[in-house]
Amino acid sequence: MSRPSSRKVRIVLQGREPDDPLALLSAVKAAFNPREIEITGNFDSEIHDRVGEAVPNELLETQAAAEAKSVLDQLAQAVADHSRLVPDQQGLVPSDPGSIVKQRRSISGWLKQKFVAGWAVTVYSATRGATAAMLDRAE
Amino acid sequence: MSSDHYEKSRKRGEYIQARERHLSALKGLPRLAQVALVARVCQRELRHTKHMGLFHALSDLAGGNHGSRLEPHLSLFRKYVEELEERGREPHDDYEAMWRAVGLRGVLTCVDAVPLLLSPSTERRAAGCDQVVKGVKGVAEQGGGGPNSSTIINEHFWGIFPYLRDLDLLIALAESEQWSDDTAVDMDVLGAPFSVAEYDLKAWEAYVLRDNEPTKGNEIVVEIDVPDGTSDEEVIRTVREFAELADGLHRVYGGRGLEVRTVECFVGMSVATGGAR
Repeated sequence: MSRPSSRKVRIVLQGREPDDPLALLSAVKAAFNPREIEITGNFDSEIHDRVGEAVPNELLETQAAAEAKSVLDQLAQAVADHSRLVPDQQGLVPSDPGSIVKQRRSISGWLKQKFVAGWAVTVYSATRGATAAMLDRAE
Repeated sequence: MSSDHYEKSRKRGEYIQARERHLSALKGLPRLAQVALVARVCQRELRHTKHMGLFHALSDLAGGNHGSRLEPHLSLFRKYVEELEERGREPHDDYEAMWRAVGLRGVLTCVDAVPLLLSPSTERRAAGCDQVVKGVKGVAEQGGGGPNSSTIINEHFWGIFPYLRDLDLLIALAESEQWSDDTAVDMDVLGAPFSVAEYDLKAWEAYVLRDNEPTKGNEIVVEIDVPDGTSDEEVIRTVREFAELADGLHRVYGGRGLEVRTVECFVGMSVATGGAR
């Protein structure tokens, strides 16, 4: 299940509304770090030598960012359209526990599928300053 | 008072009564999930006090860190509540202190039950659950911090709701993810401590925004190691899937969605990836 990787993608997402509770970002982070998935492998033998400096792939960055932005904007627009029809349902209302469980299960399933296919996904939350400092170090 | 308002109040009253009975479902939860509910009580009720250490110690316990030291925080908190109660007694008549003590005594009742919840004895655990239910109802019904507190809970006097939502979510997660008594519970799965109730959006929104720590200046970072031989199209599809899933979860927890700040792709590094069991 372990495959060598010479490419890394880093995505930084933030709340669409800065007033939304921080705890919601933490809830997202928690769902992408499920207990039942453990990274395994014989790291002594499987870590490959780094080959030179990491070089940005700007074309892929642009395409991936455009795709992610597009899908999130579409989702936001769909919610905004729905809110116009149903004014009292504008967000900040947690869904029923069943919806939360279902979405967490989707995430868990997606992660398993990715790990089995040889991808490694690491999710964490950070302040903007910490992320910027990390990105500076990476450059 | 309009008949419409009366009717709404009556319905809410009936709903609350029915839901209070539901608190007894706490007994069916795994023990660390029960501890998580007590931690949640502290997270909400102690945030304007100097006793948030109690919340952190309980979070550690719920998260499976059995080395977490509860007692030093508990002793300080007990002393604090007793001092408040003393200030509220005649001849001092400090009413603010008295009301705060009433709510915080409920918190103390919950926290005092934690050793019972962690006990191997079924009877002691059941007694612990009864004590937590009593404490939660005390926090909710008796004011949860007094009339001058800034908690959304007092001002609306519907304090039982957030705990019922937490309980429902814990029950659903425990069932779906097959938690055992020893399954560590990450407090983050409970979402925002304060949420807009289902029935009165506009009235609650301001309180929710005020009482939760805002997300501003914070972000979610995902790093994905792409296995060699993967096409660019598959990378793009993976980025989109991640964004959709993260956004969807943010929204079901009551958030208003996520947006992309940056996407970076690097080539030229060689590391092993993957592996699951």
